[in-house]
Amino acid sequence: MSPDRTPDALARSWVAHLRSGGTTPWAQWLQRPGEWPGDLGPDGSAPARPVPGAAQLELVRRLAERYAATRPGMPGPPGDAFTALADRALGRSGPGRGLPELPLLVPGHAGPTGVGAPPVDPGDLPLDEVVRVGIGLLADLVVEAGPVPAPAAPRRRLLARPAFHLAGAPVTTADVRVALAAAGHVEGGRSPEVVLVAAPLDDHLAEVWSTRVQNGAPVRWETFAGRWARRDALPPSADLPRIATFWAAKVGAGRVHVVVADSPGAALEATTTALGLSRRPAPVAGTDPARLAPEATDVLRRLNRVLNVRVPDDARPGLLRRARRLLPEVADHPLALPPGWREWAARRAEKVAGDLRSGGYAVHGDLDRIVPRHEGAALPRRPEVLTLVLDTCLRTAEIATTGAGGLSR
Amino acid sequence: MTSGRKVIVHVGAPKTGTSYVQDLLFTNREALAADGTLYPADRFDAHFLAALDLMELPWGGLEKQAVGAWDRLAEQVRAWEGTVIVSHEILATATPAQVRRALDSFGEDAEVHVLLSARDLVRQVPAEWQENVKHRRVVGYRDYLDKVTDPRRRGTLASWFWGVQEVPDILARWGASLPPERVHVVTVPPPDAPRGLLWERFASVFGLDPAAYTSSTGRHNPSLGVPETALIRRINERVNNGVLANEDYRQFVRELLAHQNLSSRQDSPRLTLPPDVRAWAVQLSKTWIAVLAERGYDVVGSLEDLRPTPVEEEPVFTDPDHPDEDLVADASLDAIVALLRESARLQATEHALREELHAAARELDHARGLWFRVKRRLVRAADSSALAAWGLRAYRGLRGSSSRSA
Repeated sequence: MSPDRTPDALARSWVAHLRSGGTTPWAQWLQRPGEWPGDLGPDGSAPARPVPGAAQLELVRRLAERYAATRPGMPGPPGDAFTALADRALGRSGPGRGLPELPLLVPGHAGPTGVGAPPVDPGDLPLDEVVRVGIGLLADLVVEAGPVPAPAAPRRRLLARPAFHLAGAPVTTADVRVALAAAGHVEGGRSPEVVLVAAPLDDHLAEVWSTRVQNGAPVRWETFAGRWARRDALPPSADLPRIATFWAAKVGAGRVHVVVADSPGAALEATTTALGLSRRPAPVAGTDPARLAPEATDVLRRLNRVLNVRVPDDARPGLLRRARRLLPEVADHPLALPPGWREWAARRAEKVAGDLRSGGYAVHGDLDRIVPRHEGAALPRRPEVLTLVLDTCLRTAEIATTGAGGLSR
Repeated sequence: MTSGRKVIVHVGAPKTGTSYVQDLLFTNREALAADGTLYPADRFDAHFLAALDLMELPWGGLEKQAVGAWDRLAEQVRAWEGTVIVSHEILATATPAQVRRALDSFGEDAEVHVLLSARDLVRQVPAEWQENVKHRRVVGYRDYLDKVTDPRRRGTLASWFWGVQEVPDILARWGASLPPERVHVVTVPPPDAPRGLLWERFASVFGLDPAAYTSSTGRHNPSLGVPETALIRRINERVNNGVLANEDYRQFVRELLAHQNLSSRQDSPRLTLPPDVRAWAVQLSKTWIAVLAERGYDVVGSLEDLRPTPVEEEPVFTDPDHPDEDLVADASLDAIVALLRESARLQATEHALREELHAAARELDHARGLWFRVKRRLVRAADSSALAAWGLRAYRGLRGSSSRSA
């Protein structure tokens, strides 16, 4: 059967190609379109369902590309599971605000003028638009997968020693807390030794942002940083002088320890020393909040915007734990402050360091190291955000892939 | 098989009297139900929340109240025998998949009608910019016009505009599965038309006697003049980015300043289009009128109402990006006075509540008795006295308290 060259037939043949795991971009497909199996109605009329929008189609193409890329040496179509996932992607719209569902551009075939958005080559779509549609699909999959219950809090033994309290950079503090608990030292007790974990301020702000997102906030990194900078204030956990003053009044300045931690390992080492423990505990995975790459945090942020309208308040934490569990492991890397706020952050960090030096506290490490380092990109990297969305969708839909850089179930 | 259930979905467009109609329907919902017409709403914004749910739209935190709202609305629709009216203007932006979900949710046996109210583009474009400004946007007027008139339609601002204002496209999406006689276009009459004509047109589609339902709360979406809109935009520049929370913005900027105070300044210059954009809008209107005429929809009013009035009948263009600063200053004074009055009112309320709280605390203290007061003193003393702290520990140990120190 010779390919039908009407725009509708070309589009539908491409849809069929993508559904079966094809990865040919639209522009190339037009050069050599495949056959359209046809799904006309019994009376020969056109199919009832319109052709999906360009973003949905591009999402499916990228899913297929990602699937193929993560299983080198294992050729062959992905199979029914992929087609089911593709159909889910094609059958839903992107959540929230974005571009409308755009028709496919077929050169030489102009649509009606004055009505409707202009057609587009899906390969020219902004990456953010494909991410948006992907997040909608991911939200469906996460809701379906169901919540993960909160882990039980460790119980502290009566009269356990030392008594201690941790505060500061929330993710690093969580790393330390969990490692200590696993070694039998559970936070709490009267008249504690107080350990304030002081990270470089930009790292600290990034940890606060990630923690808030992991707790359901939909705020972007640049908006979050800008809010604090404009107010010339610090998030509560970063206002270490205030925390130190509070605890010094309760337990004495000598029992307030400022631990300078420019890495998770350094924090645990210094805390062990501050608490007088004989052995440094081993790091433990699976903290809450988790240490996530900025792109992983950004995926959760985007997911939060959808979950906020999809599920009630009390269901969200469990689903976010599920989403965190489904995200593939990606190495953490620094997230720098947007350029406009760096001078402010340097100034604030110097003030924090000065206030802590003059407080009479036990300082472990060099307080000059809490000045922002400005390492890494100033925004989560969008291509990697998309890759994470694709990988998480594929993994969650139980499509098993193996191979270099691939996923495992 | 039909059930006798007729569902009329009013999907927009914004700035065509939708707030007025929704207020009327909500205010008279009990009388309507008694007469066989259901407007399923337990709160005035029920259909707005349902629309947010249908389209998974974030909306300044309000979306959290929208979880499950569409399904709840649809359940009420399916349970009714008679006419049901669903109305919200942001439904205009629904995608084909969302439209399918909406129409399917009303039940296979429902006779679904779609209604779109439409006004000429020359009035709609400035009105949409003003809505943007009242929703915290800081985009300047010229910048906004450039984005809207760009044929590439890039960005969320342009996408939203066309999604809620492109009449033929909205009707193509919502009416794709319906015969044209079930797609109704109510045109907004020109400004000099008799008062009440718009409601009569709506009522004719709803199957209602317009004279029987006229009372409303007066909730509506009044327009602002040029200096007032410029003022709100400048306020936005100061209060965005974490300075004012969304709920406070809604209460104080949009409701108090914009709707309750600044909108009453009707003598200030009104928003219009500059000549170049006006010419573009006139040409596009011609195209839309021709397209709509071909489709055979039920037009209530006249497609000629969508043709912009001659330019000679319009006020001269006043640029909101360069407003008369004296007028802006005057509007600012009105805004300050409104805020001062509201502050005074809120302070008086706070004083009264504080008095009530103190009185309640005194009564509670008295009711709890001596032993509670002693315990409270002991807890407070434990912060500064080792003996008291020891005593408290002992007490808690005996009592089996789960209290821990911070």
